[in-house]
Amino acid sequence: MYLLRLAIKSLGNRRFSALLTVIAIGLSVTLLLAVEKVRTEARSSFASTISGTDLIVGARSGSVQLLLYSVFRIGNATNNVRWDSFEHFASHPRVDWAIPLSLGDSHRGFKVMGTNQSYFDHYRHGRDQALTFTAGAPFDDLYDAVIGADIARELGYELGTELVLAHGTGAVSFVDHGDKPFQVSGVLARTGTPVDRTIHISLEGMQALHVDWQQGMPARGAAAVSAEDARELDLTPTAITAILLGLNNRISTFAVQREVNQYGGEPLQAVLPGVALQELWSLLGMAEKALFIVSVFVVLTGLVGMLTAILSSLNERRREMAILRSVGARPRHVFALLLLEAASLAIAGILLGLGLLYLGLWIGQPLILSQYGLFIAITPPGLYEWTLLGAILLASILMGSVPAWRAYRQSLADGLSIRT
Amino acid sequence: MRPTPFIIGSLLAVISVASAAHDHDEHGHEHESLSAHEHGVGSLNLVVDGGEVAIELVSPANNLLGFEHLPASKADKAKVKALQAQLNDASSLFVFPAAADCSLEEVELSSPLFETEDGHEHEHEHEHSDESAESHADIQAHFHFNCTQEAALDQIQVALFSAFPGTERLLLQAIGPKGQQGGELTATQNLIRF
Repeated sequence: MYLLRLAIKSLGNRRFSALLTVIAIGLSVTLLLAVEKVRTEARSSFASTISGTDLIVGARSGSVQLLLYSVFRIGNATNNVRWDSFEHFASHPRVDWAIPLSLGDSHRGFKVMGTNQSYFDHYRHGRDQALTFTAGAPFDDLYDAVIGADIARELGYELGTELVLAHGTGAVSFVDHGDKPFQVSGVLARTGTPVDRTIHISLEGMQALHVDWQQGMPARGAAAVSAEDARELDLTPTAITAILLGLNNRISTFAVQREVNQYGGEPLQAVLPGVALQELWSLLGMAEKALFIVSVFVVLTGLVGMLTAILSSLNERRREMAILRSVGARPRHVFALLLLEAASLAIAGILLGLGLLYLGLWIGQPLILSQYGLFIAITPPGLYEWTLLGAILLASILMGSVPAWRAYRQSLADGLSIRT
Repeated sequence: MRPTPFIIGSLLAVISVASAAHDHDEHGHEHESLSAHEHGVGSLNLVVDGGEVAIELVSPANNLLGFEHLPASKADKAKVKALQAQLNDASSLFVFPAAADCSLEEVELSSPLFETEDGHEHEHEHEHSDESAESHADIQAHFHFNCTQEAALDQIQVALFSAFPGTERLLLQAIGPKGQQGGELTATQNLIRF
């Protein structure tokens, strides 16, 4: 114990270089922990986006691509699915429920998705959690819209707010659907998934928007169909983007998958969301590993900096060692003293790193949420994090044993007289 | 960090699967889409539901037999017979935890190579009419197991690789008690954990 006090007092004597060492270690620890935190949180946020869906059906492309555009709204669909294909599979004897998804329009950078009541009944996220409303109800009228929690928060929309949807998905769109404004009929509770950043309208509403469009441009003059006239038309959609299927029993999953893949009407594919997600992780795994390795090297750099600082101080501290020896310290005490010095530097660095991490999380959490739609939970370090920190401490003690050994040898050889 | 669409996009460009061409004939008769057929690679689908375990293996015949033409010679016919016997004895191909007490219920095999055995040719919808010596043939096998102690069913070991050295990889789609999982099985990684 007195040795630790001595080590800390000795460090205090060289407080400036010690402080720099602690900051270097602290920053590197923060980086490592932050990378790991974001990695695991991104994974769990992705994994909890969809649950309870047995199959995702869409145009034939790659399984990961289908998962990304249908569930995460990343990228674009290669092709559409005909409405009659949807009806065919929705009425399939083995299918319990089917959710149609139709993407393509936007509102101030947020995606607009056409769907039907089935979405609010059957879509599940996280651990089988249903969608809940903080206000209002699912769309009922043709021009009703249900908005996600982020949209309500960021744009300040509430029930009854009118919104004009834009054609295409750019944040700035040159053609909008100004003649057919929608009204917010419901606001969904936070889910921590892309649902929070989506505006949901009925498939018929989606169809009504484009009913008088030709070649992707709104009709002018007499050819235009007003919002009220559109109600009279047959608004059955011709095509949708993807279908989510829930089956009566899981045993038939692969049979239905094969049926979709071999469907004669048009080339379709069905993927298991869990399988596609795993495929995505195995692709991103390489990038994750690379990030992790870089952070580990940054930590090592910090520790090597500490080693340099201690080693270079050894020569200046010969007198200190000699005095310690003269008052009865044995060489092994000198060894322990220097080990303790390295360990206390590392522990201070780790504590500083943790402090910085949580400060950064506290500041960054709302920013990351609004920028990337990724909710990072602030949780105390788990077993994995403690293991990493333990490994850092161990590495620092191993490195500290180098100068400790040298000091041990020197204190055996040196007397009180300093050879200059 | 949410991967940027750009990174995702470039990844997707690399892995996107070329879709088989599909055309409608004007005679109202439709062609089946061709599924992928890569030698050395098969697909394994597995569902655990309650105590029921349904396993489906689709593999190019070459991985299991070493050839894909219709067996004409005596030696080939003997090989096909041996393969059928091997697949029917599925307990040695899939190893369940002893505590789960699983037993083989049923095996169903289908392949154009097995058709000639019983003398009359079935018209299977997923077959080509011309089974030339060059054609690729798949073997499909369905296995049904029943486990009395489903709680103890925490993993399944796939011992196919030692039985059929021609099989290098199996693309796995599994639905376990805790949800879906995917991935690849190889001779060294042959455990499916739930």
